[in-house]
Amino acid sequence: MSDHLTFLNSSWFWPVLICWLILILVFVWKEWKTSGRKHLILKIFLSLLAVTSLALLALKPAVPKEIKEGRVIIITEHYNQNQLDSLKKEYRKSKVLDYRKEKALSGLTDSKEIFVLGSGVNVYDLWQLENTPVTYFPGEEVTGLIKLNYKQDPQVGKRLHVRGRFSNPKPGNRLVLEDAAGTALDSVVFDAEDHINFELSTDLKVSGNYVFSLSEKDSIGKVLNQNPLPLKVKEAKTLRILILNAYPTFEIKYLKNFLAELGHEVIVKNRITTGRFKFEFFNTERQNIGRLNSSNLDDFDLLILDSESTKALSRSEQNAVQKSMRASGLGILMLGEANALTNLGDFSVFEFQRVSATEVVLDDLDGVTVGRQPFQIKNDFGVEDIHRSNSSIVSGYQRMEQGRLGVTLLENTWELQLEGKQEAYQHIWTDIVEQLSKRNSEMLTCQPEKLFAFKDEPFTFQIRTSLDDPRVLDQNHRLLPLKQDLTLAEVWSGKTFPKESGWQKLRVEQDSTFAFDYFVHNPEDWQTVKAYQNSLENQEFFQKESVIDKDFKKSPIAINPIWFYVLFLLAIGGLWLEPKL
Amino acid sequence: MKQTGKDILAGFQKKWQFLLWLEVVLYATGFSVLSWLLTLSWLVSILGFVMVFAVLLILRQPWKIDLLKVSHYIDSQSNQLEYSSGLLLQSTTELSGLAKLQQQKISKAIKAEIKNIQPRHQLKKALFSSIIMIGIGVLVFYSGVTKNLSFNQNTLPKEEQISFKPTDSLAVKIQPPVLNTQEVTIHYPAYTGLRARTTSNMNIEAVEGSRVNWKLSFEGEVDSVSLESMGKGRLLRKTKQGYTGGTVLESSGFYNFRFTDTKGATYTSDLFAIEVTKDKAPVIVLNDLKQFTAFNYNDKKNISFQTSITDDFGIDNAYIIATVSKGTGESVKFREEQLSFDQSITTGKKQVNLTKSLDLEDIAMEPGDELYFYVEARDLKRPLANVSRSETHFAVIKDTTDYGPGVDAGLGVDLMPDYFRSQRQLIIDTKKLISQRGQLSTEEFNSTSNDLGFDQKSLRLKYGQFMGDEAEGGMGSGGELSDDHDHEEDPLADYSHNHDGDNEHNLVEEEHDHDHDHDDTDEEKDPLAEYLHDHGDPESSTLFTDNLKAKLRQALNIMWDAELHLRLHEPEKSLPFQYEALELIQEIKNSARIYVHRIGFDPPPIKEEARLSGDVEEVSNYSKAEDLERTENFYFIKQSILRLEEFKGSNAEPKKSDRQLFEKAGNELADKAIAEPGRYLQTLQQLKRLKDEPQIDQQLMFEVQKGLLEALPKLTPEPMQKSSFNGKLNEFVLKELQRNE
Repeated sequence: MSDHLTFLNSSWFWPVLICWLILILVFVWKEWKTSGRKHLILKIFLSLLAVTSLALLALKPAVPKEIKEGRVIIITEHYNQNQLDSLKKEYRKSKVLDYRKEKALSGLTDSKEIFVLGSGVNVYDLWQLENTPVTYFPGEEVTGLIKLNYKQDPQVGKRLHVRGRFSNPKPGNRLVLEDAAGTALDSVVFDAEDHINFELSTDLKVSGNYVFSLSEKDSIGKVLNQNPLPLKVKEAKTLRILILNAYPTFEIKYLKNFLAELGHEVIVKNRITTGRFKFEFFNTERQNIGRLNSSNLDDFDLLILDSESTKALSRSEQNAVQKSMRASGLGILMLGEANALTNLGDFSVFEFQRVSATEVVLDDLDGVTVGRQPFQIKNDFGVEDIHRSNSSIVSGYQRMEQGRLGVTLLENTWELQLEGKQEAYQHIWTDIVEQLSKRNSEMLTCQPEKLFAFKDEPFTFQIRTSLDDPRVLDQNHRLLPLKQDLTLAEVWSGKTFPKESGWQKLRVEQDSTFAFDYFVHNPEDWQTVKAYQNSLENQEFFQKESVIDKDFKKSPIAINPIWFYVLFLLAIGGLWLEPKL
Repeated sequence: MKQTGKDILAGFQKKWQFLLWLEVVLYATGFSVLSWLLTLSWLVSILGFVMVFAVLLILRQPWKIDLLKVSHYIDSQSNQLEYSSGLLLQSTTELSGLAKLQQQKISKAIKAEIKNIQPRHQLKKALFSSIIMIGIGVLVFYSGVTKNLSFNQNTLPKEEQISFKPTDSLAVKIQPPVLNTQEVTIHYPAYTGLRARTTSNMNIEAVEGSRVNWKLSFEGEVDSVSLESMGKGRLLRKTKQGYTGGTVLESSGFYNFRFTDTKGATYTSDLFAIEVTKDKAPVIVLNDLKQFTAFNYNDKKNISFQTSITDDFGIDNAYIIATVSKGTGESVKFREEQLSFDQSITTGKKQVNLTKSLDLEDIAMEPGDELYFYVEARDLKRPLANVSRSETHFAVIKDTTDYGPGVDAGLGVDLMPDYFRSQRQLIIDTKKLISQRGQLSTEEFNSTSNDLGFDQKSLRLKYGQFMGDEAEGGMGSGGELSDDHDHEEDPLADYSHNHDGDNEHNLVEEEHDHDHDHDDTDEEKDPLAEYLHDHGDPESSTLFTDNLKAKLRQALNIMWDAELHLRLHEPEKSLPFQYEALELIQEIKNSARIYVHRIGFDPPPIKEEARLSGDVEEVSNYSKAEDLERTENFYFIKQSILRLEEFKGSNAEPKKSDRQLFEKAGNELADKAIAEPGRYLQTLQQLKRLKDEPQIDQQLMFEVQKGLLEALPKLTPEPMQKSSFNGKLNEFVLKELQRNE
């Protein structure tokens, strides 16, 4: 009981001091007047004592003390009864707190030691245990789905992959991916293994917000548990493609038909003879593309040219193409003989290596043989592959700042169509066109911190935007406070507490077209995934914490006010008694 | 009155009879309940009761229990009665004293004893079995087996009954007319031989061309009834029995009924499917027959095969279409014949097995001729029969003399030496000689045969010269060969392509072609020298000559045999050797072919700088614009799926626009469903309900969404634009990357 005396109500210090002075003066004056000099010193001392006790009652003086509150055991979901029993045996007086029933953790800072058993406290509650000596005992191993990952906002027409990890599965049970209407799309049957990593997949046929589900069923089809799997399937966007060709080829003829029939905007400029061209406009207005310049190139997402038409471009046109590619992200696909592709100046960025094969079976297209030039792309730094066959790259691209410059050594792919292998043809060209095309640049993206949001729990999200001061509104048009990242000015983070389950929306005031949908789960959804994740985060958190907190912490403890009462009573009593003596 | 012993016996008799009757009734009741539960038919149940009752009655015969029987029975059951209960039946007056005494004693004893004696019966057994029977019946009834056994046709299964729903929700308040009977009669086309069928199930499955008649009758007044099918409506005729209408089925589809009551409210029924099955064409299977059969000139030219033809409604006729081709090239001639099978065909059979044995000589085929044939079958379909044909099969009599063109037709010259043909002439002459045997005198015959032998010899000698054989004497006719042949002149100069001379060493034929006329002008000269392509390259020289030599040698040896038999006046025996020789000579000719094909076309080189440099004044730019804007497939179905997802979990009522959307989705689905009406029928019906019904429950939405999702076709890969956020950090990193490259 030494060093620093503090006042808990320190803000009242000055008013109390003034009152104290006034009272002291009143008392001294009164004693002076009424009883004269007799025992004056004693009476002044007594009144000083009384008034000071009153003042101290108001100010609540406190002294720093070691915490001696005892031990607390917090039991959470999946705790191990044996651990609890042995802890109770060891520390008989310890207090047991059931986190599952009462979520409040306040007032634990004074505890001498805290034990957390089971899968741990929720991540958003961890701050309450900061700077306290906590020992964490992970409980029993969670049985069921413990990890899950999938793309929540896939594009329509693409394949959805749901990957995850299931612990302690019961052999014979099945995990079924079901669509919004409850049709089973894919399933995996468990066998006798402790952990199973699974991948379920399906094609997404329709755009919009849907709630798929992941169900665990036993061998006779009884649903053991079912969890919603929200999906925001995005609309497909069409592309704008310009094709320049020195002479008509079958490859281009079939490619342009393929693209145009899918609704993409395609412009083809084919040289018929010297200085004469054939222009074709599909799904778009006629426009003048006699000369290429930045303004007409920037509209396009992809430019397909052969080596001869590249050579035929004027210097300024070449510069315009390069600039469009580097600055606005225009994709370029070069076609032609490998030898011709290596001497095109700025457009020759690949090195080719001669191989003997003139046919190739692509890695992700089993059983389909495609013609190729007897070359492969040298795997230099910066070369990204589009098509591979074993280790050799047959189609690839390089990033050129914003844009992508790609090349394919596949030949006569149109023959696949004639052979009736339409799907393989579409597959090949979908890969190439999609990889190279300009990305639709978004002004604003929103990324939730966690895969799932739950009702009545904080939902943290991150926004990346080039807007100066984004203002995010929730479903009820309430403004959510955002925190800007210290180093990256474009990154903002925010937090909201969804009160209702189901699809919710975030909007941005400045951009009315932007809406971020997120699905709020009921608290009983995804229990096992949550428990596993919690356990991991608790482990990490408490490992960090316990190192710092070796020594006992002192914190100011108020002196019991009863002493001041007693002192006050004695002093006042003395003042009252004194004249009577 | 004092109860006499007789009265006691009579009472016992009645009790016994009663128990037996009860037994019979129990059995019969048990059985009748069982049969009712199984069949749900009162008639069967009552019949069963009566039958079992009658049978058991005859077996048990309760009326046969008389007092005598009773007394015997009682005697046998009791020791106290001393077998004297019979005495009780007799009147006291007729009895002796002792008997009277006994009678009195017994009549006392029986009073006590009768309580211990129970009439013989199987009441427990009867009760037990009837309970078991009823138990089984109840079990079966609730397990649902009875549905299949149901003999009762009077009530319709619920799912078959047409349910009408008012299109206007207000109409519910008025008592709607009730459907009384529904009936659809399907008259199958006459040729199918199927009898007309009447059913209450409105989903129709029938053969194309069937005639369908509907008959509906209503309780209550109905203004009009119409049948709507694929967007078209037609009124049903009103008759005494109700409303009728009919149509001939052409294609699959859907239909529903709509009726208007007297107050103007309209009601529509569910959709029903019409599935039209096409009459299939006959299926023909040919057994024991190779696609291609070849015969030698001396084989037995007989093709026999077995065919089995099946059809779903009956075969009308089947026959073989045979085409014989004669000759080759421009002179080819075709002759078509329709042949019947060995058996006759009974019209209307669903399966027939037919055989045919075809002798090629019967249809006048000669060596070199080819026969193409297939089996054709037609079924009974009217007005146009389904005709199907089997695969085409071939039969060939190998031509003994065919050697085809020596070189490509483009060259226009047959490069083979003339006298190679004389082997064929010899064969013809030999055949002629054989056919003339009997007409000619023996001397004449022998001398002709001998002459032919000589010709054969001279032929052999001529070939022998190529082989370097010594020219024997007897080649008196050597003079036919010209001595003064001009060596310098190439007789083929006009035909050969000599403009690119450096290619000449490849054109081997040119040299040995023009040699044939002067091969023995110079005796010292090795006649073979002309045929050897000895350009100082021993490899190419030997390869060819060895091949030719071996074949020629073989041919010469065979000619020896041919000549031998001719000289022995046995032309028949000689003929096979002659054929063989001819065949070999043919092969020699074919080996020459390889060289002919080496003549290729070498186009003059094109000057690159001259390309695309022509006068293009007249050529102008060409521009075309085309809008292929894809009308997205199943747009409304997709929209409906999304809309239904939004309805799920919310209690929102579908708006008018939603109902229109569902209707459009229904139209899209109907287009798709025409191919498989059964598969999408339920979803179509449900979409219709979504469209019409004022209240929609969640379950229905789920089911419709499920049905629509299943109706969407499999996806194919297609490129689309990806999107990403492009921040300053990204830009910076990409720039730096480029810089450091």
